Amino acid sequence: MAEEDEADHINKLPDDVLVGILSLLPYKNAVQTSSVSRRWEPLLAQLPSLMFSMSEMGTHSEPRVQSMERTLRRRCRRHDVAVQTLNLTFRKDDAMECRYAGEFIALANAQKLLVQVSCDRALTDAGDWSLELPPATTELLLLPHWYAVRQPRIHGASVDTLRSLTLDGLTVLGQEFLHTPMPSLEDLYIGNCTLPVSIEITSDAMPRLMHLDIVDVSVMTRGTTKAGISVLAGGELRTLRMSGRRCSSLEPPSDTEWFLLPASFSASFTSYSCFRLRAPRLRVFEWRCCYADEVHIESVGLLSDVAVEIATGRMPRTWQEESEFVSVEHRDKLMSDILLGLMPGLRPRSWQNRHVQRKLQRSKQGRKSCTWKTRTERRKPALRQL
Amino acid sequence: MEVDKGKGEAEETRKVAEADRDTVTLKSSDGKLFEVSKEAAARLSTVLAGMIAGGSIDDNGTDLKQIGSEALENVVDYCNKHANSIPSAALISSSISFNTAPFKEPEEWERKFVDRLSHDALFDLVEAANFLGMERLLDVTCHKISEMMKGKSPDQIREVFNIKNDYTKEELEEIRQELAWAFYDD
Repeated sequence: MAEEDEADHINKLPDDVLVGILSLLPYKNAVQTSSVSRRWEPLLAQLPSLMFSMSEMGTHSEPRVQSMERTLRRRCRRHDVAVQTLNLTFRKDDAMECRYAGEFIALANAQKLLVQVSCDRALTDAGDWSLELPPATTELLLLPHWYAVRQPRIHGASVDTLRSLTLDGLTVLGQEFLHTPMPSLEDLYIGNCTLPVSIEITSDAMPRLMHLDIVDVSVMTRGTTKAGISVLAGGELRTLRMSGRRCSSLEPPSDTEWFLLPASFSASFTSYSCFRLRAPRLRVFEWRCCYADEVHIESVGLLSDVAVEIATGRMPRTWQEESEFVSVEHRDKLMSDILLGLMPGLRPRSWQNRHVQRKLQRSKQGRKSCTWKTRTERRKPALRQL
Repeated sequence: MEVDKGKGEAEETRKVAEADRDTVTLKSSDGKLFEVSKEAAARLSTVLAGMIAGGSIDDNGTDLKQIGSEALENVVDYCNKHANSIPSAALISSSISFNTAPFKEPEEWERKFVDRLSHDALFDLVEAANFLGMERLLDVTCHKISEMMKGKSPDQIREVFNIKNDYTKEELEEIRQELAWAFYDD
């Protein structure tokens, strides 16, 4: 075949298809690829998602960050193609990177902003910082890489219009962050954090919160920390999912996982001192492998979906921790506290019996029959009401 | 191989009663006819859906002058395979629940489907999918091309895809300087 024919291949595809192909590549790879020919270079300015990792594998250089800045400025010349996602990684303990990070965030004005913050692992506190949200941002993902990184003080044009917030990573979560008023926030995801003190999520700060996920949030092991979680939501909260994934497996963690658990900051097995819930229009309640000394459910809505999963026995732990056991009594108390909170009229006669399998018909309007099973001889009894 | 199925079926099913047909006949630029399920065509291609709804489907073969027979055969083959694959239902429902659906990884059969294509056939199929508004097929084929690019240097990409370097040496050096961060080795 003549070479001219072959050359036809990719060049005959329209720009938007080529942009589609480039956007499937890792951003850095796409930037390199854009230098193959004159036709490809301008396509870079149409990519929807950008990703800059200022510190990569220990590299630290201002010229490198400046080169990223030039790439970003070129990208932002195309005002007609808004940046959908900016994924930015920088070091909190590096003043140069922090300075540029703020500038990048403002320049990109992305609809979805991912901020990954790392620091020297020898640090125990990387200090206060603030994050100014640009006007277009409606979705913020904060992904701290180390416990020394605090949550930022969030401010700026779009705090009032922020819809979705994720805080997922190794960080010590203080109450202050959750008191930031976010009047439009609908989705809140808190994952992997560790609590030094009790936290509360209230309708004062987040009046429109609809979905709340609290996943793998543990209590600090330092001293005899006791921390609980209160969710005092307004009428908008529809779904609440609490889960501790680490304990939901029947298999013990591998040796490597034991090693990786940072024992001084985070407990592998957590029992909250107290869990309090008020959500008058809650419809979905999920509680998987979470433990609390006390559960107070003040009000929930007409539930359509409930899952409760709790185990007994020896719980995973880090090597510094003492063994923790969940006794049958603790589990039963927890289960009945949760069930009674969700269904205040519940009076099962054979609550303590083994091998209980009951069907419950609720006559109240709109509620369907529900079934639950408790098998005390099993390590992981489950209750589901669908 | 199943590839030939489209043609054979086309000849046979063309004789089926015109009324109440659940297939549509498509005609490639070089005059070959292909039969495809009306439901699958309407579901997978916005352009064909529009034509079916608008009644501009020709029972003797709807002309698709922009698409060669090899590409059209692949399109028809894809539609038939898609209609037969069970997970397609899951695919549709998941794209409803996440309305800003990010790209969903190709399924195993889709991967195989594009893997067996030659360079020529792959690019022809991208064009056909783009022309017919077949978003999923476009995603799957573009994904394949991006896989071929992943981790390659610009020089290697030029070579694989026959892209002519139309920069001068100086210009190229300037670009590399400009985009220096992306050329750093990890």
